[in-house]
Amino acid sequence: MRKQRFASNETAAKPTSTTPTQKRKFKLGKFLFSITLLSGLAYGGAVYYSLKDDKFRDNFTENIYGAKQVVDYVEDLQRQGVFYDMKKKVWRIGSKYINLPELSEDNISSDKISEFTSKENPIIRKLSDTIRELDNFMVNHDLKHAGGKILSRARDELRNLSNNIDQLKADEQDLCQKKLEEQNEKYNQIIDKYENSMDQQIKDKEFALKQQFDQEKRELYEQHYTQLNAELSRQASEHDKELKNELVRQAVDMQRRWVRDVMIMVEKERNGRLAKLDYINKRLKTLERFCIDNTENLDASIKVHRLWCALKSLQNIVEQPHRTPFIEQIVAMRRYFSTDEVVSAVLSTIDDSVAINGIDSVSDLSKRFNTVREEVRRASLVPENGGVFSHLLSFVLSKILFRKHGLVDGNDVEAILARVQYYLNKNDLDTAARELNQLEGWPKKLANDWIISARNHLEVKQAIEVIETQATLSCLSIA
Amino acid sequence: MSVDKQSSEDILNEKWDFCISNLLVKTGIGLSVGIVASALIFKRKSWPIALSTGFGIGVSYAECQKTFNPTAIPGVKIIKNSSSTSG
Repeated sequence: MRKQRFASNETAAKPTSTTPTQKRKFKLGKFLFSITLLSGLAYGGAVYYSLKDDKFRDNFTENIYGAKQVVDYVEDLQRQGVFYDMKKKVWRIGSKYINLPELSEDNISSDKISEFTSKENPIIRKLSDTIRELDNFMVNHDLKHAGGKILSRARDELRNLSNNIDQLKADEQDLCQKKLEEQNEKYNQIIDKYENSMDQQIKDKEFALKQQFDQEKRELYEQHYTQLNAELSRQASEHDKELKNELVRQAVDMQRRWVRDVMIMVEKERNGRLAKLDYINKRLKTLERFCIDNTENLDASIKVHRLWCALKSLQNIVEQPHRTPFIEQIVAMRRYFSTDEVVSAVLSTIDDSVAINGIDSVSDLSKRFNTVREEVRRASLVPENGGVFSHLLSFVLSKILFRKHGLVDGNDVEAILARVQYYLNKNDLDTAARELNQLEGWPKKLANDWIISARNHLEVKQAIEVIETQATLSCLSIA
Repeated sequence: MSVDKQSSEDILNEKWDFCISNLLVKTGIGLSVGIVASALIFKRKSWPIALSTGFGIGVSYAECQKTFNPTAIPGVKIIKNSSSTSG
């Protein structure tokens, strides 16, 4: 049992296993074909339904691509009656093979009946409806053979009835027409009568209107005439007023001018005297200015004189052979020349201690230099950080050093000293001090005071020179 | 300016004065201390006198050295830059 089942299963499985690839290919074609067929059918059904139902038609034509063209085309065909012809053809062809003659006739008769229904008579319509119902009923119950003759008879009678009705209608129409013509004639007469009376009335009215028009024209003319007169008189009066105003203004102007002329004359007379006063005032002012200028000049010259005096005294003191204090002169000068910037600046450079102690003269300095020179010589061989023994050694050995004289070159102590001596001999303190400044180490320390003193001397001398030039300048600038 | 009314050229002289006076004083003190010590403690030997005199001279020398060169502290060496030189 199991084996058989297995075998059947296998055999059942085999065809399925062998045909999956074939099925795939086959399936695709069939699938596509069925899809296109179904969609075509759906499309055709939608078109047919849209012919019947307007709402569906709108939806369909709007949303589906190409639906509108198809539906319009189908409707055109319907209007042209292509479908009706096709239906007739089909039924004719069909009737040859199948028994449909009665039905076609019935169909035709039903169409003819529908013609009748187009007439407005409701009774005939009802009758035709009932006959159609009967026809349908017979068709539905396969009784066409039996009732066909009856139906044709009914049809003939219906036709007679309709003809009768048509005849009656035509008669009635003729009668109405005749009556209408009579009425027409009567009314035309009435209209003519009335027309005449209307013409007469119109003519009367025209005449009355013309009269009215003439009267109004005359009235307007009179009105205008009076207005014009009034306007003219008003303008004339205005003009008169203006002329009067103008006259008054001119009179006033002339009066004013006359008054002004008189005033000018009077002023001139007065100005004669005033001008004299003015002149005197001016002279006085110039005199004042002269006076002030004079006093200013005098003050300035006094100042310059004072400056010169002080300067001279200072120079005197500085030239003294020995140290003399000149602090008083400096103080006095400071007091006098607090306004003069240059002088006060120069005076401020001079130290008070210098002024109090006085400065050494050149001769004093030269003398002092001798001692300084000796000391420097003694310390000339001391090294940078020398102690007792180096000092002792230098003291001893300097005694055997050679002395130099005159303007010699070289940067050693002896040469410098010789040069300084030379400059001092020439009374050139400035260069001497500069030279001595070139010493180094212990010799410099020893010579420091001398250098400072010489510097003070030179500074004071320079200050005096500056003040001297300033004094000459101010002296010249006054004049 | 001048220091206590002493002009710069007399600095060395003053220093020497101080040195010599210091030497005399210190040596005298050393000598006397030596004599006293030798008499009292050292049984009239001669070497304490010389020793203390030597001490005295040494002390005066050290002080002298100090005045002449205040920067020469024993054990300290000043290394100078070649660029900075007193002018």
